[in-house]
Amino acid sequence: MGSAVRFLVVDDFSTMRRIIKNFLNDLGYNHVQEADDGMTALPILKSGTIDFLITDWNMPGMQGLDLLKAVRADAKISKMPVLLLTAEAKREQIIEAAQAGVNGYVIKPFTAQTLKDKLDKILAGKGAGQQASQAAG
Amino acid sequence: MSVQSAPLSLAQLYGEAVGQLQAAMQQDDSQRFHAVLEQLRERRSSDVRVELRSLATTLHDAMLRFRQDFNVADMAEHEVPDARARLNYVLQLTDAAAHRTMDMIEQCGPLAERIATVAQSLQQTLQSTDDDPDSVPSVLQVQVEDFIATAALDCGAIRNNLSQVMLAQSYQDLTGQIIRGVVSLVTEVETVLEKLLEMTGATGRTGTWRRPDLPVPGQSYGPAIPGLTGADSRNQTNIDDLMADLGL
Repeated sequence: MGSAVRFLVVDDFSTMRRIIKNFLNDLGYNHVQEADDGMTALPILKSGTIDFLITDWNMPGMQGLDLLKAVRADAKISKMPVLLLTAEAKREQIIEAAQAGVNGYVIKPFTAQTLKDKLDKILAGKGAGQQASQAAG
Repeated sequence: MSVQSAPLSLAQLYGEAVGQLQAAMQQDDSQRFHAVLEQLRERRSSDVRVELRSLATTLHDAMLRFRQDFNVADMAEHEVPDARARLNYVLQLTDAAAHRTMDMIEQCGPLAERIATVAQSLQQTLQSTDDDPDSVPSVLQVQVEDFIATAALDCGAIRNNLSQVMLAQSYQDLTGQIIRGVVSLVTEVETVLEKLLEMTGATGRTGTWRRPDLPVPGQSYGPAIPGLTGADSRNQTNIDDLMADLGL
């Protein structure tokens, strides 16, 4: 997918959105949109202009887990890679997120290397998946 | 407050009346029988009224003492809303400081980049004059002069930005003081709640309340706090292991 990947960063704290956006820019991803909770994120996701969702869990309005479930429930965007970037770290929560279909889970505070590793892993997996589906098609 | 005395027995309380009832029944004296019953009913209501009055007095006394000891009204009307406003101000301060710091860092990036680019260009010029060492001074003179001027300006700006970053951290002093004040209020509220529990006869600290584990699916807990959420705090390695176990 390369640097053309279009990201949506969802977090209620503008500082965290800015940190993630800067980090993505440093990695060469220049298409980054922002939203401050699930309610504002969902219409953007449904508009079809996003390839990759990075979301916080704990937000007012619609929480990250509900946003993930909404994405998986919508046929048009259900295959979108979703990375949860959150301070929530209870075992039950991680299992719940995995069951809801999350692709990666990064705990705050995070290092640039951890975030890069997770992005690379998810994007590599998606690339392989796309190639497989193209070969099958 | 009334002096506590040993409670009277049922025989002491109602023995005479029951005897009168029995006598009226034996004599089939309906009027007398109902008159005694009525006396008993009135006495019972009067006892209940006395008890209620005594309870009300006790409660009133306790509330008065409570109000004297703790200024709950002031706490509810002023201190708690103030604490909320103060914490919101902490949010504003930390948010502003973080943005200010990021502004400065973002401005430093291009400056450092420009110094690196010019240095690289100087290096290329030096390499291109390897075959003709005599030409070096004349070719480089202009470039070096430019570089010195630019580097001095850029380094000055970077130094200034670093000072601003340092200065932006001064929010911690203010937020620290505000948070300490709120912690002290929370301690005061805790004391009031404990006193209330004592007044209502609850066991207080012995009935240890704890936040239940995920009563609602999808609930968020916020950041793990060292020493509070110890066993549940997980680092990235734990999470990666768990995700791997789950096939992710």
